[in-house]
Amino acid sequence: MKNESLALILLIFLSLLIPLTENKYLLYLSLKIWILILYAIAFNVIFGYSGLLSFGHALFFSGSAYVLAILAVKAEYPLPIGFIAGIAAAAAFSIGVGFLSLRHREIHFAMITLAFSMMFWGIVMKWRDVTGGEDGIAGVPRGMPIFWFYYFSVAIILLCAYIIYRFVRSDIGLILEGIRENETRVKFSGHSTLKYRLYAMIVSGTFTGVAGSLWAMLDRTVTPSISHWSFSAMPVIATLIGGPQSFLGPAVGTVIYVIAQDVITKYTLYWQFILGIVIVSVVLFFRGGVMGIFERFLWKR
Amino acid sequence: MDLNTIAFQLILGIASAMLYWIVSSGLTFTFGVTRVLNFAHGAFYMLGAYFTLSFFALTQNYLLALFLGAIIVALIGAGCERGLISLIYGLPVPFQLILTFGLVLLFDDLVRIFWGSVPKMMPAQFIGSINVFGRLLPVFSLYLILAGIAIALVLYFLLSKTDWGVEIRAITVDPETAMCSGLNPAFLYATAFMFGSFLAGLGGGLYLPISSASPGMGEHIIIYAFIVTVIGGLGSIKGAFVSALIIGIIESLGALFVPWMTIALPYIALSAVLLLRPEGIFGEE
Amino acid sequence: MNSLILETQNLTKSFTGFTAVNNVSLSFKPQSITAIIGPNGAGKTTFVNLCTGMFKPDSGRIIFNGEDITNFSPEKRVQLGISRTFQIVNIFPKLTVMQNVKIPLLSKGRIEELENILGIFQLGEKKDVPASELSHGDQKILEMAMAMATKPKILFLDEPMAGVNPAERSRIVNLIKDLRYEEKLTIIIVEHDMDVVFRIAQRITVMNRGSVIADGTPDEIRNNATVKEIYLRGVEV
Repeated sequence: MKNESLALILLIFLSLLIPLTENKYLLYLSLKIWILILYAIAFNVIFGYSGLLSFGHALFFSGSAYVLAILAVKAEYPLPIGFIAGIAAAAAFSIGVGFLSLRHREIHFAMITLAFSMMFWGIVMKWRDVTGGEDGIAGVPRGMPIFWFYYFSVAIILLCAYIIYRFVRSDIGLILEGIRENETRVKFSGHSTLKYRLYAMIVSGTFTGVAGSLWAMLDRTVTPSISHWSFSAMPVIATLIGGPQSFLGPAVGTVIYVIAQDVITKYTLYWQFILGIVIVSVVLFFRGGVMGIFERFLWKR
Repeated sequence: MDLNTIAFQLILGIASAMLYWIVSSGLTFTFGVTRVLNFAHGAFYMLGAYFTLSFFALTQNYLLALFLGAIIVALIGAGCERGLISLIYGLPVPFQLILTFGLVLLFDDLVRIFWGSVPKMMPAQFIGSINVFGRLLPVFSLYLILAGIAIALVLYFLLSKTDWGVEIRAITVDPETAMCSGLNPAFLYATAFMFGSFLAGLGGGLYLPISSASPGMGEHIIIYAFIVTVIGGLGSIKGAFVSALIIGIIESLGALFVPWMTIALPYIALSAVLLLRPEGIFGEE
Repeated sequence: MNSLILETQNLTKSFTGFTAVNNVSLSFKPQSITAIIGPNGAGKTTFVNLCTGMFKPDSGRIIFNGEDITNFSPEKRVQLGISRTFQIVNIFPKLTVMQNVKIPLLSKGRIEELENILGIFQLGEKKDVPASELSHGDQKILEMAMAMATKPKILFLDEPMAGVNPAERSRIVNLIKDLRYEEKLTIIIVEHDMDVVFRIAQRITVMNRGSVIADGTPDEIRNNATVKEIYLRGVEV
């Protein structure tokens, strides 16, 4: 346990040195990983901790990014307003989708989240006047130089991760774990499972929205690719690789995913093919993910 | 807006509904039997289109190519069920979904590897149209409607009049009792999956005369199949037929009356059903 | 009217092919302890499931403390004071004993009662053990602790002795007796062990094929001809 936190602090510290190298490529890659880590950790509140597979988190991610871009670029509102409005939009979307999907079985949840996120994608593609269609919206402001934006983002991400951590370790988190394990018993313990799942959905969607807003500012462009279901699949796969049952699993998985993608796509066009094989083998043989392997073989004496 | 236009649009809507129906019936049927939702059902649809294309190039006979293509997809489906999906029947639902999702990524890239990324067209088939309500209706739309009805009849016949159908229904309603009475679940699950995949492949082949085949073409149809099966009631074949019709018709009429919101209409229907009748029109709680 | 805590009126529930509970009207007095007995398939568990909200009846009403709760969700019934255990142990196997008890406590905001409850059920020493590692008897007791954590007015116990060895049986019997006096509890127990039933029940209701065929004090039931005929045949009473 001590080794873990030490390694974690060391890694965070190292990544804080990256802007000092003035290597733009590395800086972008590193901040991209940071943002996607928040995305995956937020996603895992609903997946790992509540036992529900969402295939539509791109809706919250891109919903927030688009609201920010539309307000800041098209409507020329100040950036902080766009930032906050983006996150609020993600929260609102998560309430809406949660309300429609959470009273159903798990399978419905996956189908419905996917369907609504693809509806958003369709709207983004068609509603050119507002969203820029396939071209998206360019020129999203950052409000500060990239150097400071890096530290600003990392600070926000760490704060959000800490809040999420406290959430899953709280009494609500315990009840969510109970729901995942035995929903009937939670009901017969006097809790409305719908209510707690909705809490989890809101926390998950809202913090996904924070990641989306940061992403829009980092990229300075918002395109429909972040609304597409393949972007919803990203945290699913990262979490699966890292291990859904541990808080840091999704973070570890994201680092592996993004770096592997960065390297592999240099050599082959068929990244999806490799990804498919990885997913199938993880589901069949390593359901605890990387963290599960660690726990089984390394850390337990 | 005169009545003829509406009636004409209605026929077009029914034609596209039949495509949704054929694909959704396979999805909902496989789910009903195995309790696994197959994300790769859309990928099977795509494979159906590509295999039909290739068999057409060989035989120059669309109907033969369509049938052969669907058979190959059925075999691939059975292979996936035996080799992969059967290993995870007992696992939590998310793992089942993710596994079949992995298959989607695999098959999308396999299609790119074997057939290339560029959309492929089949040489035009069923050229010609007939005069309906003073407008020209592509003759293929009529064939599509006939195919949809034919498949509904075949499904009805298979499930109610054959031994296999009776066993499939038994294992769907009560797996434990069915197994105790000596049915072979492995055989039934595999054949159910095979049959569902066959329908997906058939749908893909039937799409070819309308438009081109491309990697990722399964994505649009799988989302429609999801909407159709949720509205109809997951696992209900009757429900899939009715809700496919509903979706096809509101889409085509929507294009007429509220063209700016056509894209949202299926989702509005989905939301309405989720709020008013969460288990779907023919679903059981 | 306040002399009844729970009342069912013409309760009926059918599943495909058979009627599990057929027109059952029963009433229960506060702080009473009633055993429901009957052969397998008599509808005892279904009756409990209807009263606790697991299923909705096809027809009939359920009145709790003068309020019609027929269509209430299970969680709402727990909030009102109806709690239960299940025939097959129904706990959170991967969570610790303490966490298992915490979840029901949270629904009533009684988290300060945690140590107390663990003490009553003699689970204090095992509080950090995952529930799956408890003995079967302890798991049954843990489930009773979880049911009691919501501070029920009426407690349904569905075969609390099923699969429990004789030594642990008497521990459970004593617990049930204590609970009834100390918590002013109404208990409805479904049980096959006639020894246990006659030791703790004040009243016995006999069901067969979905209907109530006899209802009375243990002595009355012991001497009831119909009951002897279909149920107690071959059993030493």
